[in-house]
Amino acid sequence: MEAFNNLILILDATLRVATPLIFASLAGLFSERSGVVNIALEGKILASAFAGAAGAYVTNSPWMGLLFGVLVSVAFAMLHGFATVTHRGDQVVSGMAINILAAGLTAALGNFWFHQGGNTPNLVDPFNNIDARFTPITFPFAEQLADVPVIGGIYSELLSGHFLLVYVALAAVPLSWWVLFRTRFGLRLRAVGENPSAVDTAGISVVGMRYFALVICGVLAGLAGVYLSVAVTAQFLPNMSAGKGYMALAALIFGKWHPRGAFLACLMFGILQAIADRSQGASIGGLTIPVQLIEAVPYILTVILLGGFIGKAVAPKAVGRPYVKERE
Amino acid sequence: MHEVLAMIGIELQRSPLNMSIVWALMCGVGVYFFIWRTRWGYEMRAVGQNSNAAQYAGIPLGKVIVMTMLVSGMLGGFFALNVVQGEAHQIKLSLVNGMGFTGIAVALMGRNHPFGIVLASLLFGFLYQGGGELQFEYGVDPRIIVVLQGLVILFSGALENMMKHPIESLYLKLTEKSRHADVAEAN
Repeated sequence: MEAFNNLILILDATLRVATPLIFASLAGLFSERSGVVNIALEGKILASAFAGAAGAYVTNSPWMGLLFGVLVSVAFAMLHGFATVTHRGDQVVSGMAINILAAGLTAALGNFWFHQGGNTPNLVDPFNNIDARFTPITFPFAEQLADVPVIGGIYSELLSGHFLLVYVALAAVPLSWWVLFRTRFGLRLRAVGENPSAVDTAGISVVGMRYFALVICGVLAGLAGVYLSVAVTAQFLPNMSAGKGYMALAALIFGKWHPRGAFLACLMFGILQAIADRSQGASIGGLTIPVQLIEAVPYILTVILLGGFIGKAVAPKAVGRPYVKERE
Repeated sequence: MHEVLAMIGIELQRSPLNMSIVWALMCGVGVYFFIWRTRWGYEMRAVGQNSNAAQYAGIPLGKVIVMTMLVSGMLGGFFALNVVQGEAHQIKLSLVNGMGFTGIAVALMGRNHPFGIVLASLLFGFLYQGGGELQFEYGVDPRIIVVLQGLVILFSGALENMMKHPIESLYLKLTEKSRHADVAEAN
């Protein structure tokens, strides 16, 4: 029973940690499948986390925060599109520029507006009547069922009591699979990433498709950022994305540019992180493992897994290559 | 640095400037010779421009990549010379301070040439120092430098084509016009 409870708690934490990764890697999936390399995920997450927290604080509503966060993330995605699709700039360089821009802007604006060293004020503040955080959703009968041996653990602890965005992330995985692989739009989007000139010959706008993919990417990355700041911490902290965008990209490559693979990779990263969080102060044979080592394990394992067990991952063929309509 | 210069008779204000700048400039010259004046550098450039062609020409791809990474790692490691051995004389947790990303910006602005890189790093040095002074004098947020950095990368790296085409066509139009004028005068 003890082991079962531990397992449930670890899986519970896995869902919580993996949610922003799932959003971000689906965002990367749409953009890379359409042929635009997106290392700007990190910047978008950071920017939308800031905009979400600031918007939620000012309007005192998490939903406005969600709207602001997604809008800012889409705006950054459009900037990326303007640089790489319209002006055919280098996609990696543009992404890097957006990451740095987001890191600087969030810290500087945060300090300028709220005077808390780049943080936004706490979103749950009873003294000033502010309660702009997403609240966890409790399923019906979760409390009554909590004491039932196995079902109670699974239903009340694992499934119930997460933020709305967690369920949205879980629903977004099959949804994006369906959009990408079962609709005409998805077929065209994938074709743009594999062979843009063929798509162009068929009379479909390559530029339009890529912009559309970037809008979807912006919305998903925005959800990831809002989840971090408005739901989990209820506050924006400088650099709070902490490499999640890069982790999501790694998950995307690990999952071979497929929603299911990316989802499983995100869960794997999440579970490693959750195990690391839970085993603080664990010991082997009387020897306490240093906390630093446990904290480093997910990253070390990521490197080993990515380096050794990925197999052959084939990127979309036209990824990273700006489309030139005709060569003069 | 001020101590060294004082020995040869130049008086300078006390500053954190140290001998690592001399080493950095020497490295710049060394990189130029390595890339454009040696066989290794030639192989490196060939692989970078067209790795397939380079492979068919008999250049060992893996060896060149490993060697490039070795050289790059060595140069990257010299970064710590200035901060640890020249300035702080101890390791601080935030010693890198985003300089790696700034380095990418500098390389882009310098158009991947050592001489340009030296100029671009001087510019970023001014920016950093200026940001610090601005904060000191007027209370301007020094993090605005990071924003500037991002904008520089965006415009000089990603949006280079945005300005290139209008300027090119403008230049062509102007030269065209003057040529027409010449022809008209000759007639």
